[in-house]
Amino acid sequence: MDADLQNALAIAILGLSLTAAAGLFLWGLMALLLEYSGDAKKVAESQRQRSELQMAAEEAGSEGLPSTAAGEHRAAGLPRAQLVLAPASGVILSVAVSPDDEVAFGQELCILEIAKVKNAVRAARIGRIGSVKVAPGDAVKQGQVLMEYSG
Amino acid sequence: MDLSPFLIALLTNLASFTFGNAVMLAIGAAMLALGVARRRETSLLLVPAGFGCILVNSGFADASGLFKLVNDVGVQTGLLPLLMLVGAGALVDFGPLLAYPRLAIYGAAVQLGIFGILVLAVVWGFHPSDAASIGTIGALSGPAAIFVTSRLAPGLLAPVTVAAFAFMSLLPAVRSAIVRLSTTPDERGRHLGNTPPPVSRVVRLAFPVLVALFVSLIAPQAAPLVAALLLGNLLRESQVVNLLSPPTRYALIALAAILLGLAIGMLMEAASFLSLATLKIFLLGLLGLALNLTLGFLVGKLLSRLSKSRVNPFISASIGISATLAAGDTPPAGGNTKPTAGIPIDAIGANAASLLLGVIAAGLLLELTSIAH
Repeated sequence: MDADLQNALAIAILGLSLTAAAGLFLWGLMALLLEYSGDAKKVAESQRQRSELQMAAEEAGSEGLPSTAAGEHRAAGLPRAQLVLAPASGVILSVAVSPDDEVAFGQELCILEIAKVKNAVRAARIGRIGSVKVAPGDAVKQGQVLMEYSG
Repeated sequence: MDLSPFLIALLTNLASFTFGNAVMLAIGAAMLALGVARRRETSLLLVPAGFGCILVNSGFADASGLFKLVNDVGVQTGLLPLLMLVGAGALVDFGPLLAYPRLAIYGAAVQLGIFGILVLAVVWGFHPSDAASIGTIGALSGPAAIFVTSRLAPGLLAPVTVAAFAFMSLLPAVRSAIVRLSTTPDERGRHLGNTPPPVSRVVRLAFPVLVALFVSLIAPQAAPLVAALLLGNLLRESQVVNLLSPPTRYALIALAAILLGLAIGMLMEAASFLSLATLKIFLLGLLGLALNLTLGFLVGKLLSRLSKSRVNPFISASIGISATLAAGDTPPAGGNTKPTAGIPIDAIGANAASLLLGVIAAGLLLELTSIAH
């Protein structure tokens, strides 16, 4: 085996292990930061809510409305959030609803571009939209209020 | 009055036009067409590069002018690719990654292909420094590839850059296919919640500073690359970037990309570009890309399965959204079959992870190759 190939193999093996180590290290670093700032609890809570919503959605029918009794029950038990929040920072491309609109479970409320990917923000519950706080072209920050329900 | 010296001189210019120049004009035109037809951030580099390629192959001479200056000061020193990374860092949100730290593993896994390509390129007769530069094409971070190449193999700047950016601009089309292949309709419809992962400002500010600190300690050669990205992110999280209006936040990355594109285009002379080596670089780059995409597909699928759906299956496709300049315009949620399927927060986190680890892996490659020589 010539010297170049030996060199390349050494670089590849070291590089592979160091990249993997960097991944593990960053994982640990971020986990520590989360733990010490107290954010870990908040993240766990948001994940719990997420899996509840997921179960509700899995029981919902293809029309987007809870089709089974269990699904309806679960959807009814969900926190009746008054606010629609931006899930991540991005730019509003379009708004699909206006104040006083009745929205169905899962209806598209607006399109938010995050990291250059278009995403629909959908209604997490049935209700009436009270006010729309954003317009197409607005840059929004994570957690910013996009809309408020009035009922 | 004798006009013949003038005419002869002009005809000599024409006579120096070779068949190779004609081929390069076609390649320049193809780059222009790709940049114009698939108009996205990669176009900022591809259009000026195509134009530069056409200029230089039609005999444009610029021995000491603006274009040479941009190349000497901006490309050979690594300044412009680093500025592009600062600009990219100012646009990327590490919030979703910080909320789900395990995604760092995904980011590392999808970079492993670049080391395989390094070995393969050496087997195929490249010098290890050249091979390392070729490997970085697969990291899907154009600026990182250019920086590493400018340090290790300045002679390969043109083919490596053109390969990296051409593949990146074609990627979104591949990505939709990966989403369809790696997820079932049921998974695509999975509800992901509209709840933003809450990460406090202290964590967001501490993260770039701490990572820059550790990388500088362990791999000083890699530090400029990683530090540039993290500086951009620190500017974002400290809300300094907010002093700029949203459209002008793209100004830094756009300006750097345009100048870089022009300089790279001017390096695409037929005599040096049209060679078997260029063809091999394109093939190896494509292979590296395919390798990393496959790894992303498998690791994303594995993580999603292991975590019992707590990790979004869409992360398989997120390497294709690699934020630097590879972004596309197709929604990865191509099959939102169920109503509440929301924003793939994990995919955005995994994307940020693959960007950060891609830059780190490219930096490590640079560090290790410099040590070896």
